[in-house]
Amino acid sequence: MPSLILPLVSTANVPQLTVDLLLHSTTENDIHAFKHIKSYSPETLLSFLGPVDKLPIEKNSSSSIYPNNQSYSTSFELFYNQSTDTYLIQQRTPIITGYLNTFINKTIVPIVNQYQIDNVILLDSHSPRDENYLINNDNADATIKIFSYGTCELPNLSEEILRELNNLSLSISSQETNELIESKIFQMTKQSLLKDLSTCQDAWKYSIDLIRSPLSESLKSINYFAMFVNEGDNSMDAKLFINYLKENLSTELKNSIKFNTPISWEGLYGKEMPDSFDQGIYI
Amino acid sequence: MLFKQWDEWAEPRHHVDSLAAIPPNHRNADSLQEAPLPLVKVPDTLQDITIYEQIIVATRVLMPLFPKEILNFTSLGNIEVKLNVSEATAHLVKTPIYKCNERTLIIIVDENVMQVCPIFLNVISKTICTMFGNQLKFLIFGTSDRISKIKTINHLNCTLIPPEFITGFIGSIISDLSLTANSKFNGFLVPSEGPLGFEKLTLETMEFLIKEGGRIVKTIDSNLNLELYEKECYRNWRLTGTTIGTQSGLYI
Repeated sequence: MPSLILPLVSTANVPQLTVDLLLHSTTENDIHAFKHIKSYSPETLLSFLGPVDKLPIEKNSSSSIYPNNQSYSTSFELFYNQSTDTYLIQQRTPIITGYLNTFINKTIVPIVNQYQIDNVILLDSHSPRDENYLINNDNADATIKIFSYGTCELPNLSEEILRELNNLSLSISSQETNELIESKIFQMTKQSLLKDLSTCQDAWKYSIDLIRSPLSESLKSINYFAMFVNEGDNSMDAKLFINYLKENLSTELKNSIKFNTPISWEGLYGKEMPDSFDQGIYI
Repeated sequence: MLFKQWDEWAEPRHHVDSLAAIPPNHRNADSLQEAPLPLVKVPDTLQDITIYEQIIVATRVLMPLFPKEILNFTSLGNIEVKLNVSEATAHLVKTPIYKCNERTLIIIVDENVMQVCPIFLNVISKTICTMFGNQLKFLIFGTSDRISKIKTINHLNCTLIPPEFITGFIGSIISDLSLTANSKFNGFLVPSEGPLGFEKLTLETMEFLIKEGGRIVKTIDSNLNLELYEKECYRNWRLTGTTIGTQSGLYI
């Protein structure tokens, strides 16, 4: 059954960089495992228009991920890896303030429904400045960990929880409600830095909107991966993150043998571009 | 403060301080409910667009290229985008649309990072694209602080090189057009500095734009006095304070 990898726009854009590596990964049979399916330009995202990204060896030719007649890339694109039955989203700009739920319901849920997605994989990153993340201070091991991994099996959610979720229509600010719901949706691994998802996290809203949506009936599970990072040159963070994903997602990434960096990374923190490009392609 | 690009405590780069269309204390701010999208009203004068051939699209900072005083524009009304936040509060953004001659329309979008939420720009872009995308040729003038030199753009080839990109209204309309089958567009992207709506251009960029602008307005109005047009463009740009260089003084 198909999976969907979805990067959240979060600290240092590490999920986006990780998707870049995945998108340009090489398999034994093919230089690119993923192929472009569709570009979107949702009104709820800040707009973006750029050239199509490619590998350095393709610099003077067209990208083998995109169709030949496509010359622009947009804020939100969908790709597919046929051999592992995995869909991949690249989201290049943040959601316009206040429109998170609208974006999830109008853009993400229809994709989950249209492609009959069975498993959604959320990629997230957080830093010391993100106060809403629930760090596991009880676990001595967690202090040296930087990754978090949690799963939500939808068939295992109790009737009581589903009822609670469906009643959360307007405000979720009640502390009691938050505590009731936190720790009942996701099961985090013991090695995770985070002990749970907070109701203030974007990932939590993605999960709840997906669970509550009547459209996404095919959905069976949501996997949540997060990495603790600091702002700076985060290219190595993305490489560490993708290796962590490969350890834990054997099905979706089984064919990838090498994760390549695209040409947009040359200006990420390199010397080839003027100062104004030092923050890379993502805004 | 507006133009300073530094801070003692750098904001994480995925935080984009976009203006919220809905106030932060609104009940929707922290809920799981969908936010309302702005509604669009198109003037009746645009019901029959088959008589037109092309549409010129630009942002407010490039308005001096089209001096109303010497180009005979006829107003066709406003594209009105309205967001009802509550019964008492509503935001309204009006985008004027003009007729330059019998074949050409022109839209100047007020892109202002301090007053206009990006959702309005995206909705305006989608409206324009839906109305005209398949039928008219688009001529687009835009700015970006993420490109290093002047670029020509069209629907066939992308002249941007990774990691160059454009955002704002012009990014939105070209994105929408590139996703519309049979759409045709060309135009210019020029480098700028500063936040959306308050961009600064170099004198070299202005010179280029005025030269190209003159070529285009001459096709619209063959009797136009180009010398007068150029003078008027420079004058308007000085009035709006868009120049970088010796004319702009010491402070930004």
